[in-house]
Parts: sequence; structure tokens; C-alpha cells
Amino acid sequence: MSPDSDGRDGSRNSGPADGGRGVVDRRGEEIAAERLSTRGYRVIDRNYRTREGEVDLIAWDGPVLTFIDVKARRGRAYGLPEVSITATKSERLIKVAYTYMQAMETPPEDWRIDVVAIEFGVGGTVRRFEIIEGVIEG
Amino acid sequence: MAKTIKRTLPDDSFESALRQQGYNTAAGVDEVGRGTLAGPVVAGAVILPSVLPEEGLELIRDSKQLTPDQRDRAAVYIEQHAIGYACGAADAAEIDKFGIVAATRIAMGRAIDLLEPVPDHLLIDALELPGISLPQTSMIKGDARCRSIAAASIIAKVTRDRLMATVWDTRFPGYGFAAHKGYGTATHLEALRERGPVFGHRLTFAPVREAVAIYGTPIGTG
Repeated sequence: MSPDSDGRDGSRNSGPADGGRGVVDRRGEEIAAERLSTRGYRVIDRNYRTREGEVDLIAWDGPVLTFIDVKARRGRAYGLPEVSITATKSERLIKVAYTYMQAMETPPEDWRIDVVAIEFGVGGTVRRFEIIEGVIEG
Repeated sequence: MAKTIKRTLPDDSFESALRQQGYNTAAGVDEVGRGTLAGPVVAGAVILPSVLPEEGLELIRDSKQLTPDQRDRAAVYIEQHAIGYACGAADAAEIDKFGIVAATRIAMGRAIDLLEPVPDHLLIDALELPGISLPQTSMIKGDARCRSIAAASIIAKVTRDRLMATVWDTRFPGYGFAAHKGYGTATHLEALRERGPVFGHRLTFAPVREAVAIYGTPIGTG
């Protein structure tokens, strides 16, 4: 299997001590959760992990259950984040989302996968914050 | 609802680029029904010609942006003008057994097998089809970017909705399949609790499992 191009293999952002989860990743998730809440998303789960992979945030956006992949980068992002989602990655996200929904008492009528792109500038400022809705739709 | 999305009409830039490389029958492929508690996942595959009538072309877009009536008209447009179109499905048992992604691939493979003429390239939303030896291009948001994929999403959606509203609603009256099409609405969950599961419910979903625990596993009648 080819490695993902999203830095989530831990090689760029983190040491091994925290299980491959880097400082930039964690801070990105916190900021994403915060700002998504401000925009009306109701975050219900974080770092949901299955055998197939992991999704960073799960939230209700109105009636739509939304699985959110946070792409946090220090410095310039590499091209459009939605383009940097590989077929392998989207396959994994779909599987994780489906597993989550199978376990729900009340599965959603509608679901989708969003990508949040965060770019940190000098001193950890947020230089860019973007929600790309419906990268994959249920 | 739309917050940061830029919505533009899908165009045929992918198809045009492929024509320049000698691929004249590229097929768009997309699926519908991945998140439902009951019923199949349905895939559509559509080959469009390079020239299409302007009138009605604006309907060929992400099927979620269209009303049911617009989708029906879009489907008629595709049926009239496409070089070829087909649908394939994978049922609930296949989804439970193989998982949603593998089942989606099965449905897509069936749609492609039924397609006439045989496509020379595939344009696919989100997934890759490693089991199919045709050249292929996968893309995110394919139904919003690529005309053939948008057409495939419409054909799949209309076909699945009709199946649920006719065959399913007749066979399993009282469940509301005509209205919810198998999605997890309050009405559907209530029917599941009060009437039990039917053959075609996805047994790997928690509310279905709970109903099975009370009513037993539904048996197919062919």
C-alpha cells in the first residue's frame, strides 16, 4: 500500500512518543473543533478509530452527520487540500464513517465527509482556515 | 446551508482531455445509497457524446442539488442523449458481508459490465476500481466537477429511488420506503421497532440488529 500524502504517518510532525500524533495535528484538531462549533457544527466525537483508520472529528451540521478530516500544516500547504485526498484515503474515510454509523442508535438520514485545512504561520498563528464541505457525500 | 462551498456546474473538461488522447467512450461512474439501513447500493455508469443539446444540460449536475422532479427530467435527458447508460446494484447481504466499499465496487462493476458500448476509460467518484482493467481516473467531488459522473449520479439516484418507491414499498407496506428510501428517518426506525426487519435490511446496523434480536432474522422469499 502506498503511504498517504497527508503527513498522518507521523514522519513530518511528530515523534514516536505520542503514537504518531504530532503537536501540529493535535493543535489543528483543537482549533478545528473550536471554529466548527462557532459555525454551528455540534462536535460529538474526536479521534474515532477503527481497524480501517481514523477520523479526526465527528459533528452534526444541522441534520447531516459530518466526518471531518483535519489537515493541519506548518508553513505552506501543498496544493489544494481536497485534491491531496487520495483514493486510498477517501476509501478509508468512507469505511470508518460507515462503521461509525452502523453502531449508532439513530443513524443519520444524511452524511458527508468534510476536510478542514489549517495552515499555521510564524509563532503558531492561524494563517488559513478553510472548511471544504462534502468532499465525499453520503 | 452552503457556507464555504463554491458550486459550479460540472463540465466536460475531463472528457475532452481524454478525447484528445484518443479515448472516445469514457464512462462516468458514481453510486448512491451508501448510508441507508435498507436496500441496495446502486451505481450508475454513463457515456456522454461530445456534443449535447443546450436545453436541459443545466440539469446535469450533482444530483443532490436537484429536486426529485428535476432529477426525473435530467434522467430523461440522459436516456435520450447518452451514448450508453446502465445501472448495477449490490444488495444488503453483499454490503453486510463484504463491507460498504467492496459492495460499492461490486455495484460499479455490474453497471460497467452492462454498459453498451464497452467504455475505453472510467471517470470515477472518490474510489478506484482495482479489479477492472480499464484505464481510469478517480476524483474527489466528481459529481460536481465532471459531467459524466454527474450524469451517472443522477441515473443511479433516480433508479434507486424508483426501486424503493415501487418494488420495496409494494412488497413491504407500512415501512414508508416510498418516502425515506431506506434512510434512517424517525418513521423508518419506528417501523423497524414495531414491525421488525425485512429481507433487505442491513443487518450490520445497530437498530436492525436490535430488531433482529426481537423478531429474528428475516428470510428472503426470492
